[in-house]
Amino acid sequence: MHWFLMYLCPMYSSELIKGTLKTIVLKLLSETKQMYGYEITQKVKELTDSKIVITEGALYPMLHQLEAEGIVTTETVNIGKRVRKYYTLTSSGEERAKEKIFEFADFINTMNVLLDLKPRVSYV
Amino acid sequence: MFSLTEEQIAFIENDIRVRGITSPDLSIDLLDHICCIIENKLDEYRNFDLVYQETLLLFGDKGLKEIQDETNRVLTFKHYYLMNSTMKISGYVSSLLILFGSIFKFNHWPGASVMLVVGVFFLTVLFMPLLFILKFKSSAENNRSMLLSIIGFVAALLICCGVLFRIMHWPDARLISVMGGVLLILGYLPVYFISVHKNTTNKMNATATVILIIAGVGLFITETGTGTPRPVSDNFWRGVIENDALLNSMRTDNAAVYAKLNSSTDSAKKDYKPLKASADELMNYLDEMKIYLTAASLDIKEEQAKQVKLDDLRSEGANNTITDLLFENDHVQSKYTVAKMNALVDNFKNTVKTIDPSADLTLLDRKEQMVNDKPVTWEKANFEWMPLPLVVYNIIRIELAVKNCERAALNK
Repeated sequence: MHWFLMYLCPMYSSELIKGTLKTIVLKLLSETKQMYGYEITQKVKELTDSKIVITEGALYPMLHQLEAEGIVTTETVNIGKRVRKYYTLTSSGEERAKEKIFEFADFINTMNVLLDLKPRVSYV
Repeated sequence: MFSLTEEQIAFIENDIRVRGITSPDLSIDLLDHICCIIENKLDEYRNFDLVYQETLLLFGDKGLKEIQDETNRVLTFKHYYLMNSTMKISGYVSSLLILFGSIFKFNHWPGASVMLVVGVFFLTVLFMPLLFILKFKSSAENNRSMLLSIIGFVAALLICCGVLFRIMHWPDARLISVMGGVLLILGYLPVYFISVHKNTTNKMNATATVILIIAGVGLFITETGTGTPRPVSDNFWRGVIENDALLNSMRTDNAAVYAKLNSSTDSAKKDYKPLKASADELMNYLDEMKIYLTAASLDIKEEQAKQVKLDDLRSEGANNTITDLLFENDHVQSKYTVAKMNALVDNFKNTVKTIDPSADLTLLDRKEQMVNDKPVTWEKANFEWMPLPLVVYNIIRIELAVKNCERAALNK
């Protein structure tokens, strides 16, 4: 199952990251209206202090899937001698982003109770 | 930060294509992505080629191609799990239906055909296409295995349909089966043998598979062609041929009697017209019935069946086709049945009775017969599960009886 190996990341197990990748990307796009692939990977790296690294093998299939589902649209812009593709959330995509973030926050609260963790930081 | 030159970008773009990225959409993403990485790494001390090779390492051995495969999988296989479970369920359902359908068919219980048709329908319309699509997707990188899958799929489809057509007595069953078999042996096997034979560990398996397929297809085609032969003794067959010759001479004789009656001025002659009409109708029905059954049993056209000589039928074995047609078993539609034949015989008997109330019609009686010490109806004893030559012979015997009764009535 090479699919899981694509999620190689320095800190967390791939199982943990797998379900959250879409949420992360949707959240970033909902904040920064327009982003390109490389920018997304760098932003995640920067925000998480390199604890989470999104690989290309996971990112692009997902972006193309989101596009096919109508959650993001793309726009190509000429950057010097090459073309850059920007991804933007559609209005249904923004809804989806909110749902995903809410769902994850709820999940964390449940996990807090379940694993009896002391909340250190409030995310919501 | 360094900026890549036009040549360098063109080089990367071309290299991405060489590494197997065919989707233009994805190649835009990857080109920009790789350029961004390189531009961030590049400085005056490091050269482009080195940094490019370094960047590619981040994607692993088959990295770029794998991204495209994954994208395709995600896009085309949104319904992967649905397809997978549909395939499994339709496979189970069709194999159960075909298994029970065959058991029912073998025991001549009702409902066998419905099960077989639905079973084969599930197999050919759902199971096999899904299996093909899913299997083809998993081995997409190999052209030869894709070709193999397509040939195998078509051959299996043809063979399944051929068997179904044969069971249901639909036309061209033999042609379809033979096409499937030939495709399997001449198309599938060579490609399979070549692709597996290079791999030494599989040599043994490959040889075994090839032998099994050839043997299986050979037996299958032979079976569909001939049925199970049951030898008919020489003496018996001589009797059959003699009876057939006798029938033909009686036809001419009776025709001559009619001609004579026609030319005579006897006032009684008009009485024979209904007799002739009724006898001719019955004889035509029986003659056409023989051709129809021969055509269906040998799976040939009726035009061809007319050319078949009685002697050619001698070695034909028993098969379900004739019985299913004659008794319209299992929803089979037939032009000629024992029931319709009996109705015409009764009609003929009534006509004879009106001319000669004392006529002896015992030759056309349908008495119960003892088969293996059990009483069996005349219809079953003469026409059920009989090989073609015996069925034809029994029809000839009825024709002889008709001609005899007709002659007796004419002589009155």
